Amino acid sequence: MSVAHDTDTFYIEIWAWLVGLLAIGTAAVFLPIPKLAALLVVFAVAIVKAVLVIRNYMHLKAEHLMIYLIAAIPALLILIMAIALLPDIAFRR
Amino acid sequence: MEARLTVARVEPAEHAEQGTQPGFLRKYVFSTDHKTIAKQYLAVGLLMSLVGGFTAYLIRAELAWPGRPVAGWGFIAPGAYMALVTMHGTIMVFFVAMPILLGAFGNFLIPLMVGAKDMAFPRLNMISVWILVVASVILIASFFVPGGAASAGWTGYPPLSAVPSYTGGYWGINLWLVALALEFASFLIGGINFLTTAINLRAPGMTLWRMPLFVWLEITASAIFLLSVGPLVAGSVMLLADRLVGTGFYNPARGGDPLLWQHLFWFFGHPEVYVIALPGFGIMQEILPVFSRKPMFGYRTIVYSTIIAGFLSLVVWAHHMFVSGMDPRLATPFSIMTILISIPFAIMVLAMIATLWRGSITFETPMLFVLGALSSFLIGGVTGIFLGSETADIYLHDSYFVVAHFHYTLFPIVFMGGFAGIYYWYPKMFGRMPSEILGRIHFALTFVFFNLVFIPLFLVGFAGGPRRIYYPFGYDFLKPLQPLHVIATYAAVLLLIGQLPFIVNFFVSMVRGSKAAENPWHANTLEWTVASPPPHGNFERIPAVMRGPYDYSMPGMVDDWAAQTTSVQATADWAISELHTETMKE
Amino acid sequence: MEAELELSLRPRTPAHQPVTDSLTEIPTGKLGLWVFLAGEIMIFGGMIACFILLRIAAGGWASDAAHVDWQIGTLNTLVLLTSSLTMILALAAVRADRRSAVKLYLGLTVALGLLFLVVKGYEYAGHFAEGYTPLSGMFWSFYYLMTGLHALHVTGGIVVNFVLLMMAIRGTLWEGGQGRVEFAGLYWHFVDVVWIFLFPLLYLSLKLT
Repeated sequence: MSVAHDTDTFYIEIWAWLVGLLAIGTAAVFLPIPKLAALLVVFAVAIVKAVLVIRNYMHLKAEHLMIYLIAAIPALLILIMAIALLPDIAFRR
Repeated sequence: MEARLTVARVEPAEHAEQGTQPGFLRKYVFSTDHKTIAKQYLAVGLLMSLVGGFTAYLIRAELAWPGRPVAGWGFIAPGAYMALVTMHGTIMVFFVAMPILLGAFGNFLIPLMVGAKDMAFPRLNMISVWILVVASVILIASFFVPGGAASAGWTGYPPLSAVPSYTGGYWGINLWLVALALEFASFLIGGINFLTTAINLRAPGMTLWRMPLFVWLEITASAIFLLSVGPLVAGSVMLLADRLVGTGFYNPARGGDPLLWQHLFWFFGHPEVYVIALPGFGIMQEILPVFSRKPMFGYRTIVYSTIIAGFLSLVVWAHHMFVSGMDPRLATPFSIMTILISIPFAIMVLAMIATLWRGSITFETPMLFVLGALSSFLIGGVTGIFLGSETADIYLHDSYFVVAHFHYTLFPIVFMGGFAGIYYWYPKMFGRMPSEILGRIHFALTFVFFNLVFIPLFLVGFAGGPRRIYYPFGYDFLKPLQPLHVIATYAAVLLLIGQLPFIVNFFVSMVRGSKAAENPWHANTLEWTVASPPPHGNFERIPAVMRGPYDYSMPGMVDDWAAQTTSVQATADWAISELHTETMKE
Repeated sequence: MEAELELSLRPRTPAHQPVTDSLTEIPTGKLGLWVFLAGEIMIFGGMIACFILLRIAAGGWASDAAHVDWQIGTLNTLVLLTSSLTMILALAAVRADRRSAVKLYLGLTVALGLLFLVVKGYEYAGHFAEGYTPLSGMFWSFYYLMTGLHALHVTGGIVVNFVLLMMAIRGTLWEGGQGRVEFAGLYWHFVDVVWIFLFPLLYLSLKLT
């Protein structure tokens, strides 16, 4: 299991990436770029940060497929629910 | 005659009472033994069914003779009538169906059927049943608060449920929300136990394809409950905030949307009915092979159908909202998915009928109830297809057709299926045989009067009779329907009285019934290989599983059954049995 | 103590190896915890979805959003990310049996968690002083609801971590409770991930509209 190879230094490296991404995401709000691009950057950053934590701190990268499914299916379901509700709630006539 | 191979597995000592007898409280009240917890769930479910049944009596009496005082109760005001229908639905779905089908049977059977000594997390299990007890107390308490119990329907749509002055009650709905939240927590915790135990604590040789179908259906039900309840938990907190704090999550004037609640509620509410239906099917699929002395037809197909039905159930919810004013473009996709979901259920029903085909059928009480459930559910399922069509639903929505449809699905599953399970596993749970005679009387009364209650209601619905109306006969076009309501009410009273043989049987047999053998029904699954009732820890040594659960009357066998621990070499059918287990197809 | 918890630290000797040809060799406790997290994903996910949907419908919460301080938000995010680091370092220390390091890192995690709550409390106090309560509009209702629910989860995590810290200090943690550090960690990281999404939703995205 690769968790045996994850050293303290590795975890600190990940943390450094997380902090860096935090800086980028927050800075993007104030840069002179189109608002839509900034929005995409901000949420892309959030997703990458989440993936870093989930893969490396929660060790999902070393886990059985079943754990992946247990984590992924709810996320997918929320996405489906949100999309299904868009016409009704978000884009009200 | 059969060689039973067992494997000694090093099991660390569990439960503090190694060598010392636990006190009464530790053994019966605060027990971590899944069998005791199951009986506690059963007790909650059966007690709440009395309350639910009584609300049903009051509702039916009111509908047959509106405005007249009800015998044994008195006058029912319109607001009180709304509280009755609300609480009837809430109690039956959340405090009867789920505790009995999931809490009681799931807890009792899953460890036994997979060959485990207990659930994966026994202390969490105990916590879950106690949370349910607290939730039940809170719900019953809500009957007695000023303003009365919740009265916005079991579906609790805002703004009726969000603005206290609309229902005239305040604490009623608040307590209702709290009780529901606790019930959700109880079954979330329980679901974690069920899934983990079935996945991880199976005995050696108990591959997934040798698991009894009941376990498959219970864990699928647990999974879809887990996946669907979250958004409603969020939504309920929002509704409670609207009521207690004055936020406007569902208030259009404040930027909210009442339709949001409907979506959140039914996103859970629809999978919820399959959470209830699947375990009921599971019980039927355990009993049918035993009393037909035939393997369950189409084991793998049933498993695949169950999983597909589980997935589909999560994407059909808006068929409850066709006339809610939601975006009409959503109607067609949801309608299509709803019609599609009838396919896996049809497959399961056909597989059950095929199991009966050319079997050596005997009509003990469990089997009678299963047959009654199967035939009645058929009617319920078929009428659901009409409601799934977005166009037909325009006329049928909120009519008694819907009420009859869901009672024709829920009652057979919960009550007939539940009774089948209780009669079947009573010997295992309580160590005594229930009375066959009382059981058959109970079945006859239940089956006949159940149908007499709800067939008239289909007719009422088709004629345009709306639901949740306190005094329908104020409308001229509904006046001719009163005789139908009267028939239904008389039948309902007789149905309730018809439960007396069961109540007598249940308690008297516990002390006066003949002692049950280990395996009175000659069934294959692992729970029948231990004593009745099983000792604490279930199995002295974890059994080794040698075959699937439905090897009945296989060619070459001497007995017409073979316990799952029976080696295939011990029965002459080993070659055929292996083939059969490996290629068990539709 | 739950004998059924297959501790990830125990060597895979034949006696402890799962005897079934089961689909998984996942320790039971870990499986149970991930199933629990799946439920939590649905709860928070549902709430976040409602926020996004109503926000798109309203289109005009930018004026309210101006009153949340992005600097405090960024600080709190940094606090929580660091607490995730200290939590995983605690687990690594448990695996390497470095007992004083375990106490240090658990202690830091608890401290950072408390710091997060203190900062949040300071924020809430500031908002209330300016007159922004849950009744000040849909944005604020959601803000308090989501951060409040999150804060409750943080509190629960702090309590659990504190209990583990006490067990480590008293020495009882080493009698088989090591697996619990992993489970507490999984929960704590999950709480962090939720905040990773709440932060841009509540503090950043509305500045962009």
